[in-house]
Amino acid sequence: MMPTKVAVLIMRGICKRWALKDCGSKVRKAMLAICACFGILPVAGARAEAKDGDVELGAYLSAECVTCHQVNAQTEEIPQIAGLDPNAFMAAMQAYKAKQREHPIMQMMAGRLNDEEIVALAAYFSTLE
Amino acid sequence: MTWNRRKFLGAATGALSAPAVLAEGSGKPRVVVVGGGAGGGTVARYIAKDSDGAIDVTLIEPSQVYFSCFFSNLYIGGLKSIDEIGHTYGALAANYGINVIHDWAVAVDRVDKNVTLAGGQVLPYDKLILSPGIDFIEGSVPGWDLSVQTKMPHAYEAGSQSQLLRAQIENMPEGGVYAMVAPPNPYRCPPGPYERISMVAHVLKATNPTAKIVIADPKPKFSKMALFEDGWATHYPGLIDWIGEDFGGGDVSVDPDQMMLTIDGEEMAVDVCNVIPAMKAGRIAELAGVTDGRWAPVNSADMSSKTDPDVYVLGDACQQGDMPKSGFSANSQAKVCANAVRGSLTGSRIFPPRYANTCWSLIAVNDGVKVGATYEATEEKIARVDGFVSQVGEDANLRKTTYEESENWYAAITADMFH
Ligand SMILES: Cc1cc2nc3c(=O)[nH]c(=O)nc-3n(C[C@H](O)[C@H](O)[C@H](O)COP(=O)(O)OP(=O)(O)OC[C@H]3O[C@@H](n4cnc5c(N)ncnc54)[C@H](O)[C@@H]3O)c2cc1C
Repeated sequence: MMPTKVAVLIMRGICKRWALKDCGSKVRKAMLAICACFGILPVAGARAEAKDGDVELGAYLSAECVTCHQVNAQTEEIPQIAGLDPNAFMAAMQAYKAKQREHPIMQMMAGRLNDEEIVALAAYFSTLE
Repeated sequence: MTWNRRKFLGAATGALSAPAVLAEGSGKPRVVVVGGGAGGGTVARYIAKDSDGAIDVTLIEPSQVYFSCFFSNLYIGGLKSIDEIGHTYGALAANYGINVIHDWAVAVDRVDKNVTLAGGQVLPYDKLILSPGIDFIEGSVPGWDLSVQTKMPHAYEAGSQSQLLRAQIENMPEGGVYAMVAPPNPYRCPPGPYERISMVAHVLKATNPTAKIVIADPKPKFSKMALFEDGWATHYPGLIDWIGEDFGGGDVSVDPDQMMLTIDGEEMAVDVCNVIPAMKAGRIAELAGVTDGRWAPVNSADMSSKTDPDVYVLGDACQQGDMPKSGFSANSQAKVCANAVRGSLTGSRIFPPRYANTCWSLIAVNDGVKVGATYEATEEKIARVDGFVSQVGEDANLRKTTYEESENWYAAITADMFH
């Protein structure tokens, strides 16, 4: 296997492990930057800033998330979204949408969100504690 | 009601986004929700929460405690306690000011727009939302009716029925027979009977390994069939005998006094007989005159009844196109409905409908599988867009994760309904 390919695979593994987990925002940002260098997470789609998002639309769309992601509780397998760094959230959604990050439900749910909706969701979730 | 009035109501469907229909003599528009389950609990909570007191929301539900059918099979399998699947309504009243009335709705007057309760109270509404779940079709299993549900439980409405079935299974004689009469399509929770079988097998394997499980099924195939059959062969070899339509599984009758089950002319003595009859919309939907056949047809844009634009039908009771009858579906429909109802009563923004469902099922301890899909509103129906299903042969870690996910989902959806 080509060394670059190995590096990409390793990075991919690390990204999957960390992008949504509870690490400090600096670490997460650094990870996302490194991932972007390897072309793993399509952060281009996350270029729009969460502050530009339509919070009301985000609130409506978020109702679909909270069927599984509890707002106020940290659970083992399904992570809490509220309070997540908006850039990490948007990068994760784009990665699921592009099927670069694995999870059949998340790929399906993110798969039908357009960029505006992803930004709206990020905007809404960033208003929560 | 006159035909003219009906026609007038029908013609008003287009007025969905018109602002504020105020109830006479009241400062606020009134929404009455019938049924405090997956659809009703969610819709009441979302309308009250998002309108911030601008809409009066009344929830009518006879039970003080809602025992969810979801996870009731895990209760039967001994993996959850009855308290873990019971939920009360106090937080809906305390957190959102919802007027929770524990009573039955017994009549709906769609001309004068009010609902009558068993206790005699008459509640006016601007918008009525029905989410009464299911009722059973009488005579669908010859020999069975509701009067014998204590002998042959359905356990398809959770609570005392689930407790009875679990007790019957625990008390089966050594080497006894548990039989299930499975329902015809469409019915509440397509994988539900087969998850139930898995949980019964889980109990019997540990406590009564010479016992037998027989399923008489009127269908030629069932939801997640390959996954269940593979799981049954792995975890419970030789324990489960599924008799499908091709082998006469649809030709059944029961004799509750003798505890006999007849399948395709052949009589057998059984120790437990779990009869899950054919289903239809909860009776109040029929009484409200919004059903056509077994279910209530709805507009997929907002879940309003095709008969009356001021009545909405959610969850199992409605004819929901490609969506399965599940708690997840009812919850998803409730959110679309809440947004539309709030918009039409207060002028708030109405966003395009979007629907989703995921059903997890447990085959054995830590062996979870799932199936899911997204849906969109078309002129004709709620139509499937995309989906996935677990695969046969997945590794044990993934199956364990899938089960753990379902536990997280259960906590989240019940919080989304009741807190
Ligand atoms: C064994 C089993 C397992 C299941 N597992 C899952 C699962 O894992 N995931 C999933 O998503 N779904 C599951 N389901 C399906 C799920 O329980 C139903 O689809 C869901 O509850 C439907 O919601 P609903 O609002 O239509 O009805 P319900 O949740 O049944 O609520 C209806 C409520 O209306 C009330 N009511 C009825 N008539 C009146 C009246 N006249 N006046 C006032 N109140 C009234 C009833 O008391 C009831 O509380 C399962 C079902 C079963 C049976």
